[in-house]
Formats: sequence, structure tokens, C-alpha cells
Amino acid sequence: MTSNDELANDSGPISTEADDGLATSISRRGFLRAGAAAAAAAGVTPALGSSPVQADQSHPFHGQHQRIVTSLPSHAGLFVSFDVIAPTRADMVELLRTLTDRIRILVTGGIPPFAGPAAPTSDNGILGPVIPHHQLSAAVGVGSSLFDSRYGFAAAKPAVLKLMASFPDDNLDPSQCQGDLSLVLYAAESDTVIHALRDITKYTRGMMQPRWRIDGFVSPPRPTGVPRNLLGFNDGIANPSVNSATAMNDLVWVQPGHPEPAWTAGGTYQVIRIIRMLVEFWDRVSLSEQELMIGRKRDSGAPLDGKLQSDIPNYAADPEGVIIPTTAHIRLANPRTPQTEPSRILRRASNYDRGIDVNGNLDQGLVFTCYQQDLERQFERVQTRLIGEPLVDYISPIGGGYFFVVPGVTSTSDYFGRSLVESTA
Amino acid sequence: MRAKTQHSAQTFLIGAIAVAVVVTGVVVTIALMDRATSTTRVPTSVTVNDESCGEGWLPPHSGQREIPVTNAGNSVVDVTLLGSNNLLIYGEIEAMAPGATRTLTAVIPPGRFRLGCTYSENATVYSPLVTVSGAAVHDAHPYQQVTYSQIAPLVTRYRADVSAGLAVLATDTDRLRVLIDTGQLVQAKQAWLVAHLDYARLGAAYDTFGDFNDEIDGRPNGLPQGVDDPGWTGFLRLEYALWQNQPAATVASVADQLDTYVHQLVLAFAEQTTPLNDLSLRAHEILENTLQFELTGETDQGSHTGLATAAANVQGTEMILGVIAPLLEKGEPTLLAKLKFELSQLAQLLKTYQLPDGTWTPVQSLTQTQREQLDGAIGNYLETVSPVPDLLEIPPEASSP
Repeated sequence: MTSNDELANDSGPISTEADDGLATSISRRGFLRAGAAAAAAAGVTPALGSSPVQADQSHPFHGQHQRIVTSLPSHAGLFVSFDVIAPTRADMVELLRTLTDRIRILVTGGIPPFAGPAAPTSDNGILGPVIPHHQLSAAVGVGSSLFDSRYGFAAAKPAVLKLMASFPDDNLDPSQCQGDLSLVLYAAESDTVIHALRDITKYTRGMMQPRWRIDGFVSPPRPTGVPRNLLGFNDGIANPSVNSATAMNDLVWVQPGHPEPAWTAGGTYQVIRIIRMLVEFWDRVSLSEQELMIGRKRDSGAPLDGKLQSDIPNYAADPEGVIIPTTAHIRLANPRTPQTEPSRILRRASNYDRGIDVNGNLDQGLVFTCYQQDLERQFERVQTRLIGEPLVDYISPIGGGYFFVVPGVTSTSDYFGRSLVESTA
Repeated sequence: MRAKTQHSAQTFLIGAIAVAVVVTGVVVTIALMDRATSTTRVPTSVTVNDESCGEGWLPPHSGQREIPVTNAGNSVVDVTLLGSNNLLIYGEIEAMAPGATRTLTAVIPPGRFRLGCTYSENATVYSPLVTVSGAAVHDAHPYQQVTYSQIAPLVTRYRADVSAGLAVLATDTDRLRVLIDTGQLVQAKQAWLVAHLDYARLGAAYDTFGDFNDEIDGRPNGLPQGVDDPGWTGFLRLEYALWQNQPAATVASVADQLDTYVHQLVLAFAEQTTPLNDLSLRAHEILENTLQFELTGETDQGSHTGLATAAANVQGTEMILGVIAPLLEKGEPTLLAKLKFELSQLAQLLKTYQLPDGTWTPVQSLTQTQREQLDGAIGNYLETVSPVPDLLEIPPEASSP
């Protein structure tokens, strides 16, 4: 199961450097500064395929890619799936423009426009009279259902976009699955993402309606290193380096050319999986058994054959799985072989905690998200390897969806999905 | 209920001030906060006495401006930023207490403007005209206040419409009572729906009919014994009795009580006064209630007719909108056209859930897509209509001829 922890993106051999997953709070700031400096240096938008990642950092919102993909998740996350109810294609385009305008305003910040002396205020006021600058990040994705007959997009569907598959160990609730659009919001504080959600839904009320949502949070380092999930294990120790253009272009950003339609270049496939963790059951399992299921030490996050969180497990030296079982989550998720290298994903996890079940158990788990160039070659390959792993007794995927995060908005005249709209005009 | 102040110009007396020498004045401090450039000019303040209002104030450049205003006098005052014709209001502060400093926000186009200060004793004092220069703006949202003489005849018309509707309602609850008293329960269920929709069409949101709404259409929520509470009466109580197959005597007693309340309301309504601001409040409140209570299934006591109620609520809203349309036609023609269109779309959408035999699709049976379309259509109208209560609000000092 990709859901928990570091697993799925346990860092492969090609990306041991600049692993953002290892960032502490201090190195996170360093990461941001480095990004900003790179942007300042970049100046122009390079051609896709050779671009330094995070090219245009000079504007908080505009850029070749939707920036949230390559940013570390902030503490507060909101994951919302919408269905589009716009009656016509023209209304659908208006929705895309409105979404863009609202998110641009929310990310950029400033004094909200005055709606007039005889009207409710244009802003909900949750963040005070001035929307703070650059405290929100957002990603907009489209689901395969948007490419039906309604809006004339059918011929332009991303090559491998489809409804989220149900895997053998899943317990999917249809009311918490799929959707026409996905919206992911991150901010340091919950009020910031809630402010944004209230704003976006207000201005799109007649064009789209929320289908399901889940709130997530990222824990602080305990005590250092990668945040822990609610199984108590560090989650997301290794990822392809977002600072490596090669890694991002090989694994995350869709590249121009067959079989993808041209408009998708610079976008990326998004998987959201709501994974319930059966935490009471888990807490009744011995630590050694937990560690064998995961493949890492709980206290340090080190692989069972290593000392440090950042150590690379040496599976070649342990072919029988004596130290790290061959069924351990990290080993199945990322076997670290040349053959499995192309299946690596960029993993972004948040925890969730939302009340209690009918039997009194706590409803807790993981909002697993990942980004990749090809759903089938990457997420589905990884997930298939995880079928039947010992961990499945303690987790239960209940919802989510597959989406395609459209290319970034590059200017004030651009909007989310413009290349899709123009390619189907 | 909308919380807009209803006390704009109440006299505000502080004990010590009552015996002090009264110097009424308003200080207007103008700080220029330019949204586009974030530049701030040194604030200029102007003190005025009770004979003037912001005399000598330095006008800002055009654009969205936040103007701090201080009431240095001893009376409550409303401050408005007016166009040169003294009619269009670009920004306003209602009911400023003595000593208070508040912000007057406005999007100001180039042109000539003045400030108006309305004191609790209803006298309005104006500043001299000033000239605002700068770039054109496209998002100023001035409005013109509705007058008593404009709205009073509309309230009369509204009351006539409601009176006619109440007469129909009383006829139908009489018939319902007879059917139940004679044991014709199948026909009674149909008659119940007819009468309930009569009532839903009147748009009895909030306190339109005073306490009668709770007696005629109250929900069991909040009553100590819930559905078994003897204080629960009206249409929903009767729905519960009919669809839960309660004993005939219980059903008959509830139906008699309902019919009695309806006839009492017919008599009482003739004596009730309708506040002038009620019309515009109803334009959004009826459907706010529909979204909250019908589209959630919360009111459903077994008949599964929530969408029928919703459709009747839309008709009630259309009736209200028809009444207030003359107030919007001149100043807000685009808004009016949008409201009419969105309501008609909503009515059409709801109509598709009435089956050929006249019954309605239960809210609980809607698919997710159908729910989203309904929620979106009603929510969209509610967003569009949200300025109407403020646009048409009659200030208290203008609430009588």
C-alpha cells in the first residue's frame, strides 16, 4: 500500500542528493530560498525538457508548472473533489477562468475588492481585512469524467487518465471517490486553506459542487527528519529530487509527444488516496512486527539494515529478506532495481483525523497523494507490487481519485486548462 | 436573519453629555490607501461642526479608497459618500457612535462628490462638492436608496397577494379536515400536499407570520419531547401522523388544530403590519430555508415531498421578485434579469422531479449528480440575490411617510 509511509518513494539510486524529504524545518526554508534564488536567476521560462525546475519563482502563482507539486506539503492541507455542473462548454471555460482568478487573488493576497456599500463583502474576512501575501498554494486537476460528452473535451483526454482503479485490498466508498476536478490547498495554518475553500466555492457555486473532501495535516519532525504518519513511522523519507530537472522530467512532468495530447505537456498525473489506518489494531502489535512490516526502525526511521534515516537499504546483500523481509512495505514499494526505477513517484502525504467510527474506533489515516508522469507505469505498478503485503491488515483505502494536474498558469491572461480548451476549440 | 443594523440613527445619549454643552461634529480623516500602488499619503483630517460635514476634506484620487472617519460630536451619525446628484451612494458608515473612528470604503470614479452626515434627529448636513481625479474605474458599485413612497405601494400589493393565498390555503385545510374527519385517508394525503404547497408558496420564511409559522409549519426540533411533544402542531405534525399511521383520533385532532390555526392566521394577517424591508429579505430567506431544510430532507416526516415544497418555495420567491422588480428595473436591470433567469432555471429543474402521476422524487432518492445540480442551482441564485436586501433597505428614518 502506498499509503503509509515512506514507502512508495523510497528514494532510488538515482536521487540520493538533495532529497527534499529529508528537510527539517530549517532546511525547508533553505529549500524555499534556493528556489527563489533560482527563479531570480532564471528570468525567462526555459523550454520544457531542459528547464530548471521551479523556473519562474518571481511570481507567487504564475509558472510553467503548478508549483504545489514540487513544494513540500505545508502543515494544513485540504483535498477537495468537485463535480462540474456548468451547463455549457462556455460556462465550463468561465469556471476555469474564475478558478484561476480566485486562486491568483488568494495566493497573491492584498486588500479584497470592495463589493459596494449595498452588498455583502467580496471576502469572507477569515484572514482579516487584508489577505496575506503568498501564504497559500493550490493545485487544480481534472478527472477523467470531465472528458465525457459534456464539454467537447473527449478527444483531448490525457492518455492514461481514467477512473481510479479499485485494488484487491481496497474498500472504496463511491461517495468519497472520483470527481471532475480536484483542488489541493496547502498553507501553514488551517484558517488559510479554509478561507480559500470558502472563497472558491462562493464564486463557483453554480458551476461546480463539492463531491468529497478531506482535511489533512503534516506533523512537525519528531524529533528530527521526516514527519511521522499516524502509524508512528516517518513518512516520505525518500523522493525523487525536485531540484533535479532530469528526475522531474523523467518521473513527474508529462513531456511533449505521443501518446499524450500536446496540451498536457508540463502537467502531471495526480493520485489522491484516502487511506484509513486501523490505529487501535496497529497499536496492539509489537514494535518488532511493525518494523518488519514497514522495513524501517520506528525510532530513527533508518532501514532495518542501516543506522540513519537517509541510509539506502542494501537489498542485494539480503536477497532472502532476512533483515528486511521481501514483503516489507519499503521493499515492495521501491525495490531499488534498475527495472523498477521508472516506476518511482513523487509522494506527498498528509495525515488525517476526523472523528470516530460506529464501533468507537478513531477515524484516522493518511491522505496519500502522489504525482507522476504516467499513472500506469508508476502509481499502479507500485500499488500492484503492494497487493497482499502484510501491512494491508492495518490499513484500508476508502476513497480518492485519479486526476491530471493541468500545466501552470503563466500570465494574467492565462488560465487553468487554457491549452485544453484551445486544443479542442 | 440578516443582521444589518436596524438602528442606524437612534439617539445615543450619554449621561454626562446630556448636560454638557453639545458640540456636534464630525472629523473626517482621509488616508489614501492606493490598492494599486500601496502608496499612502499623509492623512489629512478635517473637523466640522454640526453645521457641516467634513468641510474642507481633501478628495483622494480615483480608485478603491479607505477613508477613516471620526465622529467628534455627541450624536450618532450616518456618513455617506454621495455623487454630485446627492442620490448615488458610493460608500457609507451606519450609526457611528460619538467618539468612534471607522473606515468608509468606496470605489470612487473620477467626478464630483460630497459627504453627507445624517444625525439622529434626521437632519442631513452636506460637505461642499469636491473633485476626484485620476484614472477611470469600472468597478464602482454605487446604489440609490429606495424611498418610502417607492416601496409602500409594493408592500400593499404583496399583502394583497398573500391575503389571496391565505384564502386559498384556508379553503384547502377545510377540505383536508373534512377528508380526515370522514376517514378518507388516501385522499387526505393528497389534500395535505395541496394545502402544504399553498402554504409553502407564501414563503413564510422566518417571522413573516409571527408565531403562526411555528404553529402551522413547525419542526419537532427543539421541543423537549421531539415528535411526541404535545406542543408540536401544524403541517409537519399532520404529515407525521398521516404517514406514520397514527390513530385516527390523533390524526383528526392534529388536522382540526391545523385548520384552526390557519383560520386564525387569516384573521390575524389583516391586522399585522408588514415591515417595509421584509420583501427584499424574503427574496433570499425563503430559498435559504429551502436549501437548509428541504434539500437536506430535514423537514421530511414521511411524505417525501421535499422537492414539491422546494418548487412551491421557488414560486413564492418568484412572486416576491415580481413585486420588488420595479425597484430594481432602473438601477440594477442586469441583476434583475439574472435573478429572473436563475429562478426560472431552478423552477424548470425542480419540475423534472415531478413524476407523470403527480408524485415527487424523494430527496433521498436523488443521485449525487442530481443533488449537485439542485444544490448548485439554488446556491447560485442565493449568491446572486445576496445584495438585494441591502440594495433595497429602507433606513429607519425613512420607514414612515
